[in-house]
Amino acid sequence: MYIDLKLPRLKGRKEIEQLILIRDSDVTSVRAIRPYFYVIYKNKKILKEIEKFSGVVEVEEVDMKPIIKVHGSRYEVKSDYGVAKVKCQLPTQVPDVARDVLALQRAGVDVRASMFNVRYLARCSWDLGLQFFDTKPLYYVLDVSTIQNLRKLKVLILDVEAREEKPILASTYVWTPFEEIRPDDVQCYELPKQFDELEKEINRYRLLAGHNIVGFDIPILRRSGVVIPVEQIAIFDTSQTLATWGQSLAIGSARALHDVAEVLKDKVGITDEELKIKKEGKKRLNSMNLDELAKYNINDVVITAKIMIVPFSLIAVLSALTQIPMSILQNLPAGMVAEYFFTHECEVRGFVPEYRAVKWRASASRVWLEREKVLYTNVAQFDIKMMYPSFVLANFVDPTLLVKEPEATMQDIGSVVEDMVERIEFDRRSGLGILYATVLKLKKIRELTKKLKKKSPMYEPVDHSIKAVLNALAYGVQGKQASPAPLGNLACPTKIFYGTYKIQMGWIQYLRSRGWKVIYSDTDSIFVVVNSGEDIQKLAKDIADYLSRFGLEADLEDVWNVMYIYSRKSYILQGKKVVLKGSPIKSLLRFRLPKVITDNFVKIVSSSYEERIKLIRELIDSADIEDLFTYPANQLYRLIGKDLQSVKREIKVRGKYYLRVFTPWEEPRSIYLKKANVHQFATPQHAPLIELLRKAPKVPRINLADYEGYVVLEARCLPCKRARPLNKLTRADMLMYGDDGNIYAITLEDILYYLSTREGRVLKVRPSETGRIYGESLVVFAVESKMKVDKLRIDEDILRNCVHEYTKIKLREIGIL
Amino acid sequence: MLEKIQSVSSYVEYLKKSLEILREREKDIPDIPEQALYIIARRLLSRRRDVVYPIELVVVPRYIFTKVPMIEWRNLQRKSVTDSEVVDVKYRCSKLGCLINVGFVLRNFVLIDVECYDENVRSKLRASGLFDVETRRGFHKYFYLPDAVSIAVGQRTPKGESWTTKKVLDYRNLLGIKIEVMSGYRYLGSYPPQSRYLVFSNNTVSVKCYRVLSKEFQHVVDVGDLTEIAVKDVDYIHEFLCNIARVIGDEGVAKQIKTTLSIRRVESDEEYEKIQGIALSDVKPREDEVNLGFVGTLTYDEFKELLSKAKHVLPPCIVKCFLGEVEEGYRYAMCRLACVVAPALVYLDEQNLEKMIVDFAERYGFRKPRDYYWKYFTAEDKELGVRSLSAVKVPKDVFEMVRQYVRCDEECMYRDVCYMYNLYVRGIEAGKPLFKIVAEVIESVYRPQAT
Repeated sequence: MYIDLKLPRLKGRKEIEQLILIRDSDVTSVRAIRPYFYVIYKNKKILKEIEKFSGVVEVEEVDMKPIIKVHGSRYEVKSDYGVAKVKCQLPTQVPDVARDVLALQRAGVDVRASMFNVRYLARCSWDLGLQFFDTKPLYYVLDVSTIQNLRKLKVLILDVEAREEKPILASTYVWTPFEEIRPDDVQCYELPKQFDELEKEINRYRLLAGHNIVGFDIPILRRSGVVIPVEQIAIFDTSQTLATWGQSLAIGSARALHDVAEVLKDKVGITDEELKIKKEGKKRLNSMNLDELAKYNINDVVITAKIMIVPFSLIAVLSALTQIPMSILQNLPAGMVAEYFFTHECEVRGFVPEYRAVKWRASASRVWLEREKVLYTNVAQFDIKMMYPSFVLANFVDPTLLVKEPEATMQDIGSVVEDMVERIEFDRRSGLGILYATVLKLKKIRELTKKLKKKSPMYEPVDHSIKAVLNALAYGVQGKQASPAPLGNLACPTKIFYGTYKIQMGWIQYLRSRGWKVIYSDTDSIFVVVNSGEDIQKLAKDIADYLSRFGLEADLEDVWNVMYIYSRKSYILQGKKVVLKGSPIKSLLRFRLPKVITDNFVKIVSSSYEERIKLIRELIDSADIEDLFTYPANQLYRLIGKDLQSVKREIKVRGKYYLRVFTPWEEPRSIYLKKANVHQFATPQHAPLIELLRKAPKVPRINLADYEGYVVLEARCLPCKRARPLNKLTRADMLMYGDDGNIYAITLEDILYYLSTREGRVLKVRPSETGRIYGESLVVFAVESKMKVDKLRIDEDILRNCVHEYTKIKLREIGIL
Repeated sequence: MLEKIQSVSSYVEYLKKSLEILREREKDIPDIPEQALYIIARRLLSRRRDVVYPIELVVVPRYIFTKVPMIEWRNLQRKSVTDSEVVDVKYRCSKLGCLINVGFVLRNFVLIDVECYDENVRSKLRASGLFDVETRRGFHKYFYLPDAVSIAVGQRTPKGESWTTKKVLDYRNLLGIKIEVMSGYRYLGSYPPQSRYLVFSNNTVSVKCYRVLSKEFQHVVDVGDLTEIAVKDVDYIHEFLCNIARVIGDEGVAKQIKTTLSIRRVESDEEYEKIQGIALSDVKPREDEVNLGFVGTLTYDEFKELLSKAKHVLPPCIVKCFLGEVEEGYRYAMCRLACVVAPALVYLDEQNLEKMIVDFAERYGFRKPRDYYWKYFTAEDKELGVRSLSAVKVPKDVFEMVRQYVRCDEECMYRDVCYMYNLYVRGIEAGKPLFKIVAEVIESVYRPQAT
């Protein structure tokens, strides 16, 4: 079986006439393919001109029909135009030659270019007639045997641990898709002792996989002298794949192995123990001994093997169906895959679509919400079934089917919206409709794969990959906003975007006029508050009434007990399962709540009001004092030097040495401490602080020789001169009476700092009664060198109370209490 | 076979085989020299291009220039388009392009095939814009039924309606055309880009392709989009049939079609199977039926002589069956009818059987008389383990075909005593079996002459 193909680099070589392809079953020699693109011409003479361009090897006339722009946004098949294949020497020359051809076009010559942005490696399989994973491509038939073929694969998963940029440990595991993972079979290699064994193992397999393997593991091994034939094998990097395909895989923006594992925990069966090892090991990676490190390393490989199936099956199936090599596909966004799919669909049917760049911008947001930071109970969610494809199919949106469009105003797309959509019309009988037909074909295939999925969950990746291409094709290909696209035009994206926008807004309005409480809507989904089961049936009927006018259908996705909306695209849903949308971890961090609260956030959200207050109190009371102050505690650990990793190395700027320490709060802002004990600050807001520091008693000199126990000065500055309401406070949320009798506006972290620096006592901490803070206050904290946390004198009750109050204010602010 | 036809020499072999098959059907095909075959092969190979089918099609490769399938396609009939066997055949056919002829299973499709030899009528039909494809003998029109297996065509009679999935409207006498309506997975339609036929004229051979006439069907071929030929309302198909008659200018026939024919949708495979009865296209040797054991005393020659003497008073079905020429589409039904009557009156030893087969082969136009002989006239006696001719019952669908073909309810003078007619039309189990009627008629005609 043939897996993947990377042609030898053509750089520097002039002529390659023959290539030898080695597969498992046979050896064949083929002619080297030449990177090419198409030129559509009216007058044959122009071909001779193009032949003279540098980099062009051959211009060959081909028997294909061009689809070209005739007027406005309308495209048609024109048989009086000819098509020629322009073959170039190097792949990099294709865009250059195409640019020259387009320059001719701008000069007034009737010549057009096509498919010049298709990547060379993406095309080689089409030209060479390869079949990845022995699967028949989707252009001809729907072949689902790819799933069976995937089971024959053997993939080597690799993970390397390094210290000081030198590999010390590596683990490998031979993984087969859809098979149970056996942690006992993981091989561990001690490096550099066992370099040879590792090299042998790596060279035995054609497919290498791992998390961030391209960015870290392979370079570090190669630098140490391990020979890895990167050009000859296929490398699958889960981290890279998730960067491009994370959204379609419903993993979101998680990239780090631990985060990904947590998201996919239930789906792929990662145990809590494995997660725990990963999480705890991460903190003290540098202080582990070799045995511990080996355990951690093996655990990493096991987790990688478990999460592999999700991105790998999608990419492999997509590769088999579209015949784009996996190595290209992992970094190719779904929109580009759909575009390549479409162009090749045209190619096999004997059509060449003209490429055109169109600039347009969507001026409306697809998210609608009643208000931010609120909590609702009993919410029904309805989703429109395949909105973009259905819309395209119901309205025949295709530039070759365009019959009517507004004339002059099309340039000024952003300003006129409402009536413009009405004035764009399509008719199926008026032309070829190749884009429409491709969407239709994929939709039919999707219906088939849905049926297959019901039969066996094994077909899920097939369904998933078809869905990704279908959605991208329906809107992504036509909705490209600046670069050249096949059949690029203004009418189609306008129609699709504003047409569906209008439907969405009309939907909300209609339901509100019928007396429903609509609370949130994003593109194709709607959230409505319901009171009973009968309500849902009535609502479903109302929705069907409205949507049937547009040829669309909606499904009841779920009924949620609780919906908490934090902001646009970030909300929590709790029913039988819990959904956290919109990089939930990040948004929870933004609340700046104690760890126990963020950990049990969903639990708090889903309980009733009285229970909630009780629960918060219980949680705070039961937690360790260090758990309540995670961020300050972490920072203290860092400063005191327990974890050296986070104390950043010295950096050199203009010949002067600085020590860089990242502050944990809010925006990543760094404070530079100058060698000569003169302080520099990042923002002008710190200016008064400098003054103050100059007057203050001198702190001990910084000695750069040792990393431990620095004296780090950290300052908080409140620039507010006017009174501000409490909910708009950014930094200071509480007031504190200090030793000196002044009132300070502080945060919780500050308290710990204060305690740790001054060894002072907190007299009284309370939230501002009036909700306002007056005057200009300034707090200065310092951490003395070599101070330890256990030395701190902390009055626990006061702190707990303070945390409770603080949490209450914060929760009220974000609409939960 | 499919893989091998990519090179010139093996493709010529394939062409030879195709021509052999073609000759069995049409005897007047002249010999083509091998050199010419090489030229044809080279040209077709040079024009080969990938063909992309609409996703809904289940295709069946055929020998080029013919309608004979290259593979056993009985298994493919009811399979989904995701089935690996279907996918495999489809992919290979699409890669072969113009090198073969290809048909597709008419499940969810309706094919209206018009046969027309009169050039005047033909030009009228061509200009009408009604049809999708112009074929060698006439025209095709395809309809796609997204949510029904097929349609059933019903003929209205005073006693009710009889439904079939394949209906021949024979207006050859009136209009010079024959309209055939067929649908369902037991039939194949031709896929125009891959349908080629040979034309011989002035000592030259030319390869011609089915011509796509309508823009809608051009979209089906170009981009595989069936929306334009999809119909949800079967009245549209009914109206279409009337329109054909109107185009030719015969309002009377149009009216006749409108009043006597009715069309309905067949929703499920089970329903389709029910209407179809025993499959007409895939007849198995009748192993399950019993040899009745009675044999007649006449020789086949004597029997035929008697029949021809009594021609004017015999039931019309018997006349058509033993003396008339039977058209394609009704052979099976008429053969089975023969099996009801012949064994009761004729002593069918091998000689007589052979004579009977030859007689049938001539009148029915069988291409392979031997095959049909086994299929229609014999059954295996389980006790003796010998194949011999058996008398059989006439199943309902066969009787329907016979009735439709010879119009026995209108013309037959024995319909009141006919057991089959009583059973299937009136629903009463009464009357005489057909062979008894025939025997009585022969006797009544023969006796007066003898005296």
